[in-house]
Amino acid sequence: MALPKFDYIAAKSIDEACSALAANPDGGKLIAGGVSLLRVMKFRIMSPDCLIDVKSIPGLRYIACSKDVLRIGATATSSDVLKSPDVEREFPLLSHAIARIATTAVRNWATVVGNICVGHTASDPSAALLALDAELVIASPSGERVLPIGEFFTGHMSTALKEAELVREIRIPLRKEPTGMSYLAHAGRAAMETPLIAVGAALAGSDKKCTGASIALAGAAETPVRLSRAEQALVGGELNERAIQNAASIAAEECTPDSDVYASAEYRRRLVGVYVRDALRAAANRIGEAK
Amino acid sequence: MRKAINLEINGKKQALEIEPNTLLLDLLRMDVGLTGTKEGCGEGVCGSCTVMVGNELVRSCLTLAMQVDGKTVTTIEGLADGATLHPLQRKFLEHGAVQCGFCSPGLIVTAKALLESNSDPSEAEIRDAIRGNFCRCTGYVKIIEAILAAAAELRSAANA
Amino acid sequence: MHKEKSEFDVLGKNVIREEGYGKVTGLGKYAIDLEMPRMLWAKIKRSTRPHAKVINVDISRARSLPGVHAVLVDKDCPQTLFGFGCYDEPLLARGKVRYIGEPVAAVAAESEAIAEQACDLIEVDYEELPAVFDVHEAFKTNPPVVVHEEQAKYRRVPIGPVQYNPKHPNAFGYYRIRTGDVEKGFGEADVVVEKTYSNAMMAHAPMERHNSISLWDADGNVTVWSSSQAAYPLLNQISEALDVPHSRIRVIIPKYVGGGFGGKIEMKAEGLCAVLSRAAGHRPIKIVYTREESLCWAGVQHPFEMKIKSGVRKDGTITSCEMFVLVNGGAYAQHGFLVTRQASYGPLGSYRFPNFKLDNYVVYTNQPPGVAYRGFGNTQIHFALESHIDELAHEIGMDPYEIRRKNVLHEGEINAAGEIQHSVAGAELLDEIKKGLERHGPLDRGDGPWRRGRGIAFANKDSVAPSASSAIVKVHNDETVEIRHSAGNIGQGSSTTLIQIAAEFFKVNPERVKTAEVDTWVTPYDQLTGSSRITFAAGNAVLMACEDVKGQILKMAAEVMQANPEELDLAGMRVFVKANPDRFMAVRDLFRTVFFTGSFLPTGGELLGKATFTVPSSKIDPDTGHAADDGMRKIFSFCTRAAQAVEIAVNTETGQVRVEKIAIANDVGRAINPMSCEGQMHAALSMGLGQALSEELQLSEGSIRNADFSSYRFLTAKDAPSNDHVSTHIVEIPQFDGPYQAKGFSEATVSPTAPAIANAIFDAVGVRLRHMPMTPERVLEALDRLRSDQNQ
Repeated sequence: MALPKFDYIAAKSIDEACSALAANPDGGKLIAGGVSLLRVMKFRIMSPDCLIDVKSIPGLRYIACSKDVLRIGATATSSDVLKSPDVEREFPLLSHAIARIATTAVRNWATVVGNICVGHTASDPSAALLALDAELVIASPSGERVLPIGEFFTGHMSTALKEAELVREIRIPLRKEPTGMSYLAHAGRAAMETPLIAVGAALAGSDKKCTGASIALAGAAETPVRLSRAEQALVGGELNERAIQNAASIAAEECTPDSDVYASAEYRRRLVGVYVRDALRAAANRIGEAK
Repeated sequence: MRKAINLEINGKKQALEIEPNTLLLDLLRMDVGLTGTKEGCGEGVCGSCTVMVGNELVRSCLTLAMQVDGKTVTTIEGLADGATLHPLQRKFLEHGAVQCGFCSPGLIVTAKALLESNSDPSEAEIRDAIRGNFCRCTGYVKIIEAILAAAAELRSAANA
Repeated sequence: MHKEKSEFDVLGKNVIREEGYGKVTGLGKYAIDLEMPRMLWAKIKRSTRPHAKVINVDISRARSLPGVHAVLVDKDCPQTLFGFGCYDEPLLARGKVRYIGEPVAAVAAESEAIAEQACDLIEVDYEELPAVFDVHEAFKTNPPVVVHEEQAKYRRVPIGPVQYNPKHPNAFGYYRIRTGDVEKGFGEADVVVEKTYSNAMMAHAPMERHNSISLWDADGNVTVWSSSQAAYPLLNQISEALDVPHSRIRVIIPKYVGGGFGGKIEMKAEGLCAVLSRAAGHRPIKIVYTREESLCWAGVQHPFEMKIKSGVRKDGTITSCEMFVLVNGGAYAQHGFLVTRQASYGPLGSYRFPNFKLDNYVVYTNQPPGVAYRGFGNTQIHFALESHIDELAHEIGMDPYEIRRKNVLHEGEINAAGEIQHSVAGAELLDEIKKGLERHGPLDRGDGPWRRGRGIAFANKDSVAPSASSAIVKVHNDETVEIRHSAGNIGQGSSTTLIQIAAEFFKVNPERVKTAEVDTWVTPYDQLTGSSRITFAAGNAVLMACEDVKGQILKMAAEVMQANPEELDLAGMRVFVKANPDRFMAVRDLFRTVFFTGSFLPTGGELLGKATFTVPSSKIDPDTGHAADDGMRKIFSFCTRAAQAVEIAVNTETGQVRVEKIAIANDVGRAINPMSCEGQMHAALSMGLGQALSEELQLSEGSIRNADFSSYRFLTAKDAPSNDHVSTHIVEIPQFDGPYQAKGFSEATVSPTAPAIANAIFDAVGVRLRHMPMTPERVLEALDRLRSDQNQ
């Protein structure tokens, strides 16, 4: 399958990339790994006039961990994240989510930033980052802004990125208290499928009292979402089986899934109940390990 | 507008002029004539197009050739050492892991990368490593046998 | 791995594939890898309507696009209709389109990209017509839509009962079997069960997409290179479609074909591209189907609806069985009516039916056409029959093994269609899988959301008759053997099988035997690669050709050795006197050299054996489907049987099904290459499992919604059980007329999987699914229904 024709700019800096975007407001698209973009171009869903390649911009492919925050650069690949001992130690939820993506060959080339910028609801990294309260550093010709990831996904396949903006970095705050994490996904096959639904859960506290709950859901709404009602039902109460089942029922009610070629909305809703419950159980059990 | 790129493919330097919309897969198959790497689906799912850039596996059907400028590429044609087959190639033959053979190049390159990072993989690890290589014929059974056998042979050669 | 037998020198050995080196090095050229000088690329403009009149096709803008060399519509093509026994299909839509995807126009251009652009510039004016997708609606006597109004006039090859029936104007194939009196039989039963089973439309999904290069040269000859599995059927169809004699057509199939599974038997775009070639100044035209085209519009697996009513006595004896089958044939006949015929005999190859009645119709609808698919209808039939047998067993409280043992056919028995059953593996296969599964460990039913169960299924596949296969075997001056045969090696290893047969015959190392590329200028007629027939038919033809060339060798050697040919024998390329083996000569010494110009054979030209192997069939009564009582009592070439036992786990909260253990048993006559046999049996884990659990082409108003590998669920290495829980059991019951008593079996490797899983699901959680694939959603729905029934 051939790609349509396009002009190609290999940007050498973020400024150059943003300027190129500004100069091509209608037909310019950024490309990093291109795994998502090239696929939609092959299917003629998109035919940008100009591709602005950020993959070789120096200094963007990093994963850096300080005492407060883990930062993932714009061109860090999924494999980079998976291999990072910092990520595995601080955010096993993210490691597990990324491990689900496709296969090694895809992860070696695809960037995490690229993945979340597609704005797909069934994105494993998007849900994981949402559960971890990540922030995005967005660069533009006029400077930078920081956006909580909860405000980044604005609708089906759309993000809050404005014209000539790009995501330069993902920042994930390190947890202040011991947190048990879990990431579970359901797909029709054991591999090579975006999830029908996926749950990222992070719990803090003890079985006597839950002090923090974060539950993100992929694939069961227009965008990846946080299940705030289910979270609120947990925080402040005992972290026991009954509370978990209750949170799971709320989650199943709260979600707004769609039907597509992969599954019906009703089936997705059923899965949400099962997987939120299982993710919360696993996360609760792991709080002790995190201490 | 054509652009110049330079790559090293299977140890041989290539200087080419390509349109920016050239995929690495098409560069290999059509510009350089290495048809061993195949296109099964065109969307990066089936694994037939798998090659190595540097020492990493990539999906050549979803890789812009421009991004491989200045890099080294290894395809299936680069595995044998002259007339001597790589142990993976030999084991695939000896264990009946090749039927129609269309998935074999991508699979063998994937297995090579696996064994370079994990010289003693378990069956589960192998299944995980080849999860992105679709085979319609074999049910994967003999492919896994072949990879285990190749791993064993490579380990004993390394220990010798 | 199956241990190698020592009775033979070459048979029973795991000889490495002839074409293996080219496959593991990437050096072998598949059709998709071929390039020709001055080659152009073709693209097809396809219908976007399921049923519509074609009012106008405007190709003017496409024609004038730079880089476009030819654009065709129907009036530019020979006004023929082609088909596979039912001639109903034009090269390009004629007057109307009958399915979404039907070719309407074709373009040849300097690159695929330009050809695609040109297709986008073609404007088609349609006048929409009502469409019919449901097979029951289409089957009605006054259907809402008639898909082929001219059906009564179509040329047909008469097989079986009269095919066209004005009472069902959309049915284009019909088969019937009548044995005994089914109503009386129901009266004799203790229990009667009636259920309906069905399957979704599925795709072959070979890894190498359909592709070809066609050349119609200035001399009027047509040459085609194709990723095909059947050179002569393709040649024949090209001949009919282009109205060009056979002698002017050449079909070449490379040694490397990336899978077929039945989907590469008929002509795809080869004929159309030949017409493009002629229109584009006699340049070679290459076409490579996109994955979407390959999945949807190169032929699919037919959806079947099968109603089975059967009666059984408490002791497990089946007294009576009545089947009514409707096959959704799609918009063109292609293989449809042959599939209907073949599938009808499916049940009769497994069990004894004192009373049996079957009516099987294949019906036109406005869906993509169905074609041969591994099993040729038997996969669907056995899904129904084997699920049904278990349902009978449960009704009378009998073990599923026992009920099958009770009714399975025996060696030499005459089945319900009056056909003698040869090389019958029945109880042997059941015993193998029972032991096999037990060796994988005990069943732990589980007490969490995952519940386990076991199930078995039996199946069979008849191989087509009449059948014909020709072979030429040449012995070269260096004593190597060359087999010229047109069997398409699509991955099953047919070339190596034929090499082993010839090597065994000549008592030489298989490395001294090779096969020629399939090329109809060089390799003679073979009916097709399909119907599991190559080992049997091609193997026999090759053996006969070997005998022929051996006879030539002995005759010539007799002169040289001054002996009688009857006194001589041949082994290891030495001719020797049987009574005194020290008197011998080498075959190479039959050749002479004159003046440094190479060697020649003094008489006869070449050492070239030729033979045709044919399998006749008995006359079949069109009314009853029975073989005539003519001594032969033969409807098919041979029958191969299979059984599988599985242990699965069902997640009662999500409906997921995991196959955890499987025992696969197949009856192969004789295992020529045990490793290859096992490889074929492992197809249960790819196609078998896929059909059972996840593969379906999802249709909506004639349009396929999941035509790519992301959403057509093709199973990965992580979806199969681990190797230590997979066992293969080769059963060898000699096929008396097979080459070295071997026969084929590859289709029967996928039929038992789905019903075994359906039966295991019932064992695990008590729900009976009667539609495949048995996806998690459907399993969960069934569990919900069961739970709500239980609550009432």
